[in-house]
Amino acid sequence: MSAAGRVAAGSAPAVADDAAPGGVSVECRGLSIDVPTDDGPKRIVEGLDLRVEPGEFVCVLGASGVGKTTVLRALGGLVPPTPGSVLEVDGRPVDGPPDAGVMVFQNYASSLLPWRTALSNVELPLEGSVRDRGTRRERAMAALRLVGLADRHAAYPAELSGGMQQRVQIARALVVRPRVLFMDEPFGALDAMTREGLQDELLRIHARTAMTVVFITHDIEEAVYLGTRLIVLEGRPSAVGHDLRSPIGPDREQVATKESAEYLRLRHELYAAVRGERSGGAP
Amino acid sequence: MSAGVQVPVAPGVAPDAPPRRRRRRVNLPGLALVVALAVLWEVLVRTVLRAFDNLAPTTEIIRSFGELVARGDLAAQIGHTVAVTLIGWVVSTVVGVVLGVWLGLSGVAWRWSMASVEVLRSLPSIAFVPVAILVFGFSEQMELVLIMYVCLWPVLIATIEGVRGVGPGLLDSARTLNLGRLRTWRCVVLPAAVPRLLVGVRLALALAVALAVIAEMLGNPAGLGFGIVFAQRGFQPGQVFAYLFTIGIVGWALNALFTAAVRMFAPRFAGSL
Repeated sequence: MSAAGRVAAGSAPAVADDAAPGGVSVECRGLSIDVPTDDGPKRIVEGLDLRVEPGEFVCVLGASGVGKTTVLRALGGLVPPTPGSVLEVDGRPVDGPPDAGVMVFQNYASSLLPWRTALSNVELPLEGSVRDRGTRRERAMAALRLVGLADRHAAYPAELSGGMQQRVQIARALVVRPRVLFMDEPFGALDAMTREGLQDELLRIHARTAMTVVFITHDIEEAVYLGTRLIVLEGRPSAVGHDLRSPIGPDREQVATKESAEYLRLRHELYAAVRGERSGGAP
Repeated sequence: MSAGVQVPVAPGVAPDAPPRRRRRRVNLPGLALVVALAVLWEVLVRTVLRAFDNLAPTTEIIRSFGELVARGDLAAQIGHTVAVTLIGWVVSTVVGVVLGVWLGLSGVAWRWSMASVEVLRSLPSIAFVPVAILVFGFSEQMELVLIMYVCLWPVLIATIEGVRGVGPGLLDSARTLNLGRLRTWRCVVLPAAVPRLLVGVRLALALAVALAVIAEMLGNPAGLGFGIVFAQRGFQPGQVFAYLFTIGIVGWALNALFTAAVRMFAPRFAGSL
């Protein structure tokens, strides 16, 4: 590692520059996804068109069972779309997990390796690509510092709280310097206080790295607070039902932002959109 | 692995508790109970159970034990049984783990062999004693083959289940982090299989002791199994009971050694035993 890198590892703000390659675009055209069921393949998503610009923070909402997670897994290269669908990250077709993107799963407990320490978990994705152990460790420590967990680097996942474990998972994603994060209800299993703390940290990391974020949530408040753009999936099979641009600026704060007129208006609009889908979509 | 501080903390232990090694103190109440039972047995055999001619009271058992030790029989027999047990167990553990990893990772191999594995492993192991004697005669070879065969199944099954039972969350993580196939096996699948594997290996050890004794009783004239049958045929109740306890202690000691070895070399996995 260069001298600059060493300096960067020593202080948190510089680390972010180190891990700030900027975001990439994510695009799908005519995206359809079949999932296998006992009665053969069932179409979950059909004809979904979406273009996420580099650096956008897109929150995807929708009633449960509408296929939010499936869409995200397709974007992350974990689920193949049907033939004919166009799916691109940074203009390159997605065929397996893209190098530029990493997924963060809701269930942190089952995603971390319980026999590795927090630091060792974060080092895992570097073990194939970064030969030098010292460099690997420095980068992993920098990622842990970014999520505020440097002091617990020697702890095993079972010794950490849920919120801390999810931070480790986020650090493990950040350490590969992804240009897009695919997050599947990452804060869904956390209590309200922890969740708000992590939301603010995620906003801070997003602002520093300028990476693209596609964020699945069923929580309208969370979506409005975090997103620069909000997508509502609807229908069965589903497609984009609503596509709203957030009027809220980049500086967000849990109390003031949530009392602002823009926030309330957008929240109202989104409730109407999601509820309309719920009453119309229920069989 | 590159953990900074390897502290063996079992899940559920408070993380801020000092990483102190649990010190084994002499369990006085437990010891007192053993002594009380020994005394009770002595009294019972000499009073209520008098009608049974061939029960040995505690003092008689201790005397016979001393006799066997003095004659040098016991040490040789323990040596034989322990050696055969360990050799058979180690061989079947190695074979079982290698085979199990292969069957667990290869869908085709598993589909082809699943039915055979299910049938063979559910045959009662004792039923193989006559088969082994038929094929190998009254020999050490027979004893070894029997132990290996019987020990293979728990190890094989545990390894397959361990490898196939890796959580989908871990596999998803490995994929999204682009670990690649080899690294996924080495860093995720195999370590995740270790807890179940250890349970199977430990079960195999208990089976190995049991099968060694049975094989020595019925087929191979050596070791503790032969000793106990020989004493029984010679109407030596004191010796029969002395052998009985010796066999029990050997089984307990092997298990304790295994647990201690895991605790020493793989402390993170000691909790799964």
